[in-house]
Amino acid sequence: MNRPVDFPHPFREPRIHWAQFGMLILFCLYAAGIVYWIVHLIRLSFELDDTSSLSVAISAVAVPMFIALVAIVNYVFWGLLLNQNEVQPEPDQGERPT
Amino acid sequence: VRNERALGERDAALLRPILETGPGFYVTLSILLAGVTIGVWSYLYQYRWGLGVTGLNQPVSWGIYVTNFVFFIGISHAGTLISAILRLSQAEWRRPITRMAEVITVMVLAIGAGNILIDLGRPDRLFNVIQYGRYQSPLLWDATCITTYLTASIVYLYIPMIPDIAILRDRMPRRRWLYGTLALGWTGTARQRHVLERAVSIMAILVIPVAVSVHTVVAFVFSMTLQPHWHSTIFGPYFVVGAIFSGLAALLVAMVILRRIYRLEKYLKEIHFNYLGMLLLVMTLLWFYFTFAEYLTGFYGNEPDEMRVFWYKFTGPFAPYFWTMIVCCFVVPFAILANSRTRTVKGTLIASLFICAGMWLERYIIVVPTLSNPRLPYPPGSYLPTLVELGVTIGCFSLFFLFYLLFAKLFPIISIWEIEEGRHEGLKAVHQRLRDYLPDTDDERDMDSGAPAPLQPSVPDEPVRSRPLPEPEEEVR
Repeated sequence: MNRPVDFPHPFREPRIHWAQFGMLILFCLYAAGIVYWIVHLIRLSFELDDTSSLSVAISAVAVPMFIALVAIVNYVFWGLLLNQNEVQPEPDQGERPT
Repeated sequence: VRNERALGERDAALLRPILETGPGFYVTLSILLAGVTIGVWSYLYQYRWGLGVTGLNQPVSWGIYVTNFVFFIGISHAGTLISAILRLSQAEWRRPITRMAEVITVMVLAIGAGNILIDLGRPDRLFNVIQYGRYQSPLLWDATCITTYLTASIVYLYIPMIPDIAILRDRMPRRRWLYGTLALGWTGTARQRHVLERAVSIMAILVIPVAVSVHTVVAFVFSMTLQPHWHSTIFGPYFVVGAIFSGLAALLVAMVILRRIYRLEKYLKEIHFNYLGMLLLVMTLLWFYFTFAEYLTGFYGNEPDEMRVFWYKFTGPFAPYFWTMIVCCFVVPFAILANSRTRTVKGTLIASLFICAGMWLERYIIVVPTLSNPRLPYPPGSYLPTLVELGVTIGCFSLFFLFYLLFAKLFPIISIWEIEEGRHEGLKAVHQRLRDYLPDTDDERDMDSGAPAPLQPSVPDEPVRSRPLPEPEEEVR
């Protein structure tokens, strides 16, 4: 079994830092792309007068869902990255000394 | 960070598959890669020569690919839905199971959706859907729902994995770049834990309606047509029940295999199989109830078109498939799971394998017999899958197992931090919950009101409940 190894904290490494930002941007772009696609289909349905009510109904569910997902991912991303340096809480009482 | 390392030490068995690679891994990898190669070759052959090399024809234009699609999407309910329900209902026994279930969801959703692309024949036509799709078609509802569910499932899989990825980041310098990026700077501070738990709770609530909607919409693809044995109001819930049923079975199969290969007996205990076995028994009965209701309604209506398909399944060319499905999905699982002596690890595995096979057959006999008996005045059609379709199917199943194997090689298949949390906070929470469920004893009432505690009741052998429950710490020791 490998032993824990000490090395510089990953967040201080710029490459990892940028990779994390890249991940977030990629996800946001993906979600924006899906939302754009749905909006495009709604616009098309209005232009062609083709079941526009149905398109609006489905998008009313799907679009907020993607917005919620983007919000949650951002919440986790910033919530974890900005709070990694707080003081460590004391170990639980249930944890026995090793 | 020290805490995370300590967790890793205690649950070293969960990290062993990642840190150590035995010959079995390479053998399995080779077999699965061979299966995937067969699938890729078959698909390329079909791509080169067109759908003419398949058994698809007029009027049977949907066959094994659509069966696979419905089957895989069904199995996807194993994960997110079961995991989310167990998480929200605070079922403590969920802890070693949730990750395995969530991984199944992500893998099979991607493969299920891929089967539709394969069925298209010309995948470039997908761009027509993107550019000119019409929401009049339930197929587009399906595309939207599956995209949403897949995205939500990936997020729901990833967020609870972050603390475990941080353990790997601290232990595996060779893959530091991967784990360091994915760990998002997790150090286990109180604030970070709060953020994570909140996000997981929100995701668990969000993902349940999406999961239900996905399989309902898959059912709508069939039931929105006026075809016999498809046009049914209960098709949505029937599909959802079938999906949870097959998903549970697939999860149990995965649990038994992983338990055996990675020696996880300490984590996946008999009791987990017993509980999931009971859940599977309930789903067996529910599935039978829905199947019975679906066929009885058609039979009682006695419409000629309906009855043609009905007898096609009951006594006609599809009778062997139909009765095998009944045996696999009801007779065998019910016989095994209803008996507590056979509801063991082996018993649940056998029942689950039968259910998986039976549910695939169920999807097949939903898709094909109806198309074989068109309402228009055409002669009945016939369909037999060709080697190309079988090759693609082998490839799909191999790809699923390959993805699962690679995931288990890169990440812990059981959530380490949730196990550790269960040891401490879970025990306390269960203790507190039990106290809340049970009626207050006289002592507790008096303590609440500030009155002095009375003498103990003079019934010597009654009061198991009147005794205070042991503290969680005592139970741990």
